[in-house]
Amino acid sequence: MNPLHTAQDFVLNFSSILWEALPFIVLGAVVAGILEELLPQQLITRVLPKSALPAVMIGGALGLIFPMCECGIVVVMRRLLRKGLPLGCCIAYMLAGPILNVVVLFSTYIAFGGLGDPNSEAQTAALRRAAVEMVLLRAGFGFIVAVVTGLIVHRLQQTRGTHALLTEVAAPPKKTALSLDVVEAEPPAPPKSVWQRLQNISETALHDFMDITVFLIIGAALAAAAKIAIAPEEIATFSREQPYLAIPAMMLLAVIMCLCSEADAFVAASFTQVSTSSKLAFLVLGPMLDLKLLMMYTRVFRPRLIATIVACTVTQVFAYMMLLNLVLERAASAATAIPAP
Amino acid sequence: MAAEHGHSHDHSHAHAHGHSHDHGHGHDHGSSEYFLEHLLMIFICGAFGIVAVLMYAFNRLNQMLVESFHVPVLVGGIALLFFTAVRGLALWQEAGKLAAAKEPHAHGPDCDHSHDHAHSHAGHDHAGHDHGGIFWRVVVLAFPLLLFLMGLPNEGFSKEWVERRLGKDEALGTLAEVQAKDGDAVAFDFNEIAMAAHEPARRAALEGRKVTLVGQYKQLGNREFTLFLLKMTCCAADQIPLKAQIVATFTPYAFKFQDWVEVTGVLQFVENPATKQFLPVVRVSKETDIKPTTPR
Repeated sequence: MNPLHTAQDFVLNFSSILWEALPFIVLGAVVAGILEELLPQQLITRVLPKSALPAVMIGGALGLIFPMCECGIVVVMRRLLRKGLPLGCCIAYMLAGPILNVVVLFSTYIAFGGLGDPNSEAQTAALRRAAVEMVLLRAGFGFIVAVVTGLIVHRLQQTRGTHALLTEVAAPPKKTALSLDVVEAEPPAPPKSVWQRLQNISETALHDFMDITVFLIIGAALAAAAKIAIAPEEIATFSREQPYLAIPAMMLLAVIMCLCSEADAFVAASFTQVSTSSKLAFLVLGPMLDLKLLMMYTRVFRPRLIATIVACTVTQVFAYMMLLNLVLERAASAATAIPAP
Repeated sequence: MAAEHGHSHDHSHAHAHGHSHDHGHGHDHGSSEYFLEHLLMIFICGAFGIVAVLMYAFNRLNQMLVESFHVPVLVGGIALLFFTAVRGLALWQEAGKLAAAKEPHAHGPDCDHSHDHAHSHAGHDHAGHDHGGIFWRVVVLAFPLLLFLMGLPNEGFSKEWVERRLGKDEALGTLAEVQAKDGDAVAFDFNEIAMAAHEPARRAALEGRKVTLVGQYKQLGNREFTLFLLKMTCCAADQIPLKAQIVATFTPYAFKFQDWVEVTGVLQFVENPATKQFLPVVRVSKETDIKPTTPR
């Protein structure tokens, strides 16, 4: 391949991933600045249930009322962690949020034929049913993977401690006996002016923007390089030729392609010869784990936690999709075995 | 102001009026380094904002993103510029206060300044971020800005990339013709036809209809070519190729690879015996039904 053409393709892939993500990183950074400035410390902890399971489940469903894409959510989640949201909840929100949100679910519905066939009413009904099934499966599996991972991380946090899992910039402030005394003895802080608050929001937002964009750039460069090495059609062809490897192949594709969760359904739908379970593996894993997200995670999580998240999400997505594949194959063979009336 | 930095330490310094006190601020660097880091941050964030706005203004996003993403990039750029301006003004005020505090002067009963040193950040506990390693970060952050200054990316994907994405198609040769249905030619998009190719009922409904397709050209044989479209959903990285095979009853004019062509003919679906996939095929019988067109 001509090196100049390779460089041209790299630059286009890299730039498109970066500039597509940029507005969402800015949005995430601004939301992070507002949270840091206006959300009282430990308020979330007081509101959330004390028991881990319901708290993590709430974290998993938080995307429905607080939608963010996977790029912006890392920035927001870091601030929520500092504000006292339990780690397990944050992980569940971070993993499920980019799937369980209205925009992504609607784009999945449209990509899988939700608009129907203008030429046939019967086809329209069948297409819409298939699209709804795809949306429910994606949302359901995304939620389950996120909640189970959140619970495992919660357990890990209990055994290892928060500061063994989070980097310094993400860990909630350490409290010592001395600092608690000081806080209790201090009079309430004087109210801040709007200008002071705006200054603080802008400082946090710009810091977070810079912090995360560095890792987004490195991740986008890795993804662009990977895309030069492996074309998606090659993996799709491989999936067709080796059906038993289709699920891991599509999972690998999701990690390499670094697609926005609002767009990935259209790409998945284009792999028309790939099984439903393989497409779902692509749609569930992609928003949770890709090269750019892995780089962004390093700014927030220590290697032990990143390894846990990777192992949990990959293992679960693979296991659930193999199971789904088995169920769908049995259902299909049962349907063909029924003699026509 | 107990900033939570891992490298915190208190520092004392003497003032002109002869007392000293601690600033519980957690920076392991002097004020000049603090200001340098913040100036770099303002410079980089401002530069990203300016580049985002310029890319929108000069249509530099066209090759990278679909149109619906252009406005969010512009809004993101404007937001960055706004916050950069606020931060710049705040930093300028901090610098002014620090300079005033450093000026030697006699303190008396009327002197009501409160020693609000520059590092107080207006009562803001700026925990949760560190200032370490900003210089290597600036180098990484400068990369996309440098690409913009170099005018890159300035064209679409290379010919090799497109050919690789299209894969290898083979000429179909002689086809069993389907019965053409009555009616005028209907303009179809590739998406519709590609989706229909994999569903028996939709194939049956569309087969035999006269359709018009617009796409890019790739020669296959004397009387056959592939018409394709690289469909972008959000960004260039998610482009997917959509294809239809065109079979003519005559030898059509050989266009160049990736030329834009409009084709009108009868649609049918042909099964590839190897892959068991159905391929949309348009059969063309008149030379005038294949014509060059403008890029879409």
